[in-house]
Amino acid sequence: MKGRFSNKVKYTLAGALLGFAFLLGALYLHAHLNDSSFTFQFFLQQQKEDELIWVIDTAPIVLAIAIGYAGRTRDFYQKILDNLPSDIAVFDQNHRYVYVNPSAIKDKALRRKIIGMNDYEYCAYRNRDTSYADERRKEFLLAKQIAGGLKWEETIKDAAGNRVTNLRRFFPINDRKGKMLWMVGYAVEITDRKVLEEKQEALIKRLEQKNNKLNDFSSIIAHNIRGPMTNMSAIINLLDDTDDPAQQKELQSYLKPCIEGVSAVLNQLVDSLYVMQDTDVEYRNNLIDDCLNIVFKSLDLEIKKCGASVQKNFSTEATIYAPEKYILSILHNLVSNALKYRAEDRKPEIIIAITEETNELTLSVKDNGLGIDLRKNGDKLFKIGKVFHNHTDSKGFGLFMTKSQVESMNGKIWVESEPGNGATFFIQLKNKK
Amino acid sequence: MKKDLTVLLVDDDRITVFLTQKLISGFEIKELVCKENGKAGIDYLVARKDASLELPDIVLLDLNMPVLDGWGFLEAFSESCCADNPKVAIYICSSSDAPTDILRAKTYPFVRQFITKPLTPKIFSEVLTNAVNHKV
Repeated sequence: MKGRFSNKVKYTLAGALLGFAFLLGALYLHAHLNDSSFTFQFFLQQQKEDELIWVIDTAPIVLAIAIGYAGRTRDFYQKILDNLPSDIAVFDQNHRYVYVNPSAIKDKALRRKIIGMNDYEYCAYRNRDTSYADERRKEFLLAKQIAGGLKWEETIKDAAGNRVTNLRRFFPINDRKGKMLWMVGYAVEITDRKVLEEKQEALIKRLEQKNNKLNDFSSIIAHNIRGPMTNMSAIINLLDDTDDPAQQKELQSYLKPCIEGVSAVLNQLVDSLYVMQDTDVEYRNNLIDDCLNIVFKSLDLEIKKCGASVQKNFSTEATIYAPEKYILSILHNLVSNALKYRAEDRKPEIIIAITEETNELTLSVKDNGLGIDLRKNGDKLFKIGKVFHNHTDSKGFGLFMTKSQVESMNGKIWVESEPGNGATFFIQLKNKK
Repeated sequence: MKKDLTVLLVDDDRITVFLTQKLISGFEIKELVCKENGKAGIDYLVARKDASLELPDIVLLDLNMPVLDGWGFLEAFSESCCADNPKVAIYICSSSDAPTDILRAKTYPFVRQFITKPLTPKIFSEVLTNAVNHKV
């Protein structure tokens, strides 16, 4: 308490004052006890007179002690509430403030002002966003309804714009019949813990990604490298066994595709490892329109050959914060896939769109091609060497690489598709400006 | 006896197909049919079943294939009535020796064995002997 006197002093003074008033009263009575006109004498007996005077004389002292003691007891609880390093607020049945401690509201004038207000009125008074009032009202009603305590995490921006997270509790105080008298709101700040939690979650996510990549790699080695290697050694064994030049020639002709296959897979593997370790690629804002034009130029022949139409649903000023080579590679892969997996009976139509939110950007590439059965192939779509159509130039490298690049930028990639109805690939990136 | 056996090879890699054909040509069997992926393999089996023709005795199944892979083939095989044909012995023939793949293969009762490539004459001979015994 910042007042001139502490509560203890105030209550003792109040008690003493009251006691003094009594004393004056007692003196008055004393003065008139022998006055025959005074009605009080009417019910007094002479022998009891001394006792009464004693009672009247000691009463003010007892009263002063009692009031002082009550004041001190109240002061004890008040001090604790006022000095708790947690936010305490007490509400009436209608969710209006009855009490707020200084930890919840530091300013004394505001602390007085809020009494009798609800959160909406207080937000309006302080010119604040009412969104957290909605959540608090919801929790209040719930706690009242279940007549029991509950807790939730509330994250708001403080005056300086920093994110602050509080663990909030409501617990009703009921009378004996179960009717709510007050609701106590209690909050303890957990911003540090929250930040740590978020960091840990991000770390676990990265670890999961790395682990998935590791599994991908071992599967690639088991299937895509060991396979052709086994074939090569079998061919060489057969070569040893034969002297027929025609057969030797035939066997030799099989060696070349094996070697090409292995080296292609190895190159992709190494490239994606570089992407994973690429910590010093340069991030910058790229105009998406410019990037797309570069991609279209390199795919010009394909686009003309199949008569594809391309639609851009975004502002020419739209930018994406990423390494340029990744963005070019990702767009190239997605657009060339849309062309490659076109449906035979219709001309390819590709729609590229961007939606921007506060700090996220989602880029989508939609086609009207063959589509993918996600129920069957959803989990394999972004893995290396997985091909879903009988297509001569499908090697299953493109999406694996795209996913590696998107994930190295902490982004997300996913697809929506139905067989026969085209596919839409989405890429979501954090968009720092 | 071995002369009565038919073998279905499901593999997309033409070199593996070539090498397997070459290996099997050293054995006397009735017929070797090759299909380029899981879907072609299942379509072939279902068509034969529908036409009340005999199903192959041995299926050599690769795992990593386009369109429908080996796992997809195994699922389709257990769904379609082929599971009522206990005489069809499926051998997985993959370049993988990953424990996860081997354990997963074991969950299908009709998978007789997991062979890690290369398929050698010795292993194939055992496969044939097994199939003959099974047939009797």
